[in-house]
Amino acid sequence: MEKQDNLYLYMKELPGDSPSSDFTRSVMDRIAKENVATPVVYKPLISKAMWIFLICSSVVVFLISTFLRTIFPGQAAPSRLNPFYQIDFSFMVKPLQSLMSLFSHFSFPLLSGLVVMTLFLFLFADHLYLRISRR
Amino acid sequence: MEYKGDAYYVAEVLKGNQNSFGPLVEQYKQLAYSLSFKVTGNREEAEEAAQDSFVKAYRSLESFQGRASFKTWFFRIVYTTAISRVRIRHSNTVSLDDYKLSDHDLLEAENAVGQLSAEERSFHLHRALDQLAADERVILNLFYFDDLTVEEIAIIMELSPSNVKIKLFRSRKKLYALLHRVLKTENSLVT
Repeated sequence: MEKQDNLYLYMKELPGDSPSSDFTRSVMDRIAKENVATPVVYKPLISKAMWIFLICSSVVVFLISTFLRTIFPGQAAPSRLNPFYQIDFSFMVKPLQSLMSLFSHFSFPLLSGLVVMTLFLFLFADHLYLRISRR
Repeated sequence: MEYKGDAYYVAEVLKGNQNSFGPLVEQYKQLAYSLSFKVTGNREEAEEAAQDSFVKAYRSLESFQGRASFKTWFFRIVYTTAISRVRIRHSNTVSLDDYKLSDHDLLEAENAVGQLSAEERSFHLHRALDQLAADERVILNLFYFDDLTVEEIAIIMELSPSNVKIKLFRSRKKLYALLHRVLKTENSLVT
């Protein structure tokens, strides 16, 4: 369908239809009166890219601390200040025998635990920030 | 005040600057009203439909993702808003079956319309457009008057581009059929 046909010229000759002179003011008044929520786009506290980086970093740290214990040999008397200090959950076996047997030999590095806890804190802070922003 | 482009004002509104919507209203009020009027055929309804469209656009601005141009996205809202206000009209529109147009008659009608004065042509064209169905009138106006492409019209009217072309062809033919009938009646055709 070509616009070069004569109908194109004939249609252009038609007078345009115009709204009332106070059209814009009426629209803006309606928007203000109806208390339309301003469509603000909320930016999260932590971006998607940052989340990917944090999760990948956490996985790397977890792998290093859990499976590469030979990197720091000779930790005969580990101190709690040592990031590779092992938390022993065998104390949980006593109160709940059947369930705690699962934890009798369970342990993981403190650093991994701190990383996981930090991630959850970031998630909570991000969620809280969004809720506060939307009020 | 110089218009800084749709993207600028959309971004400003999304930042929370409500007044930045004003320039967008100014920019598109003519087109919105014109399209609404073509659909509804009534000035009061057209004014209300156009205003409703702007309010709807403001509310859903967050969902405008920039895949189509703002103009196309907004026209879609105007079209659907105006169409929803149109009551079914049974008697005013003419079926193409009621008046078939041969290729010879089509050419005759085109020539006859071309020989009219601009004022007479506008008058007859306006009357013929009023006798078309709302969607036929809208598609001709969007293509010829508002200079939209087939792809843009397809987005606005939710048709495939091929359907738009078919509909344009048929609407154009029907328009000339109506003009041919009127002009023949008035003995304006040169035989």
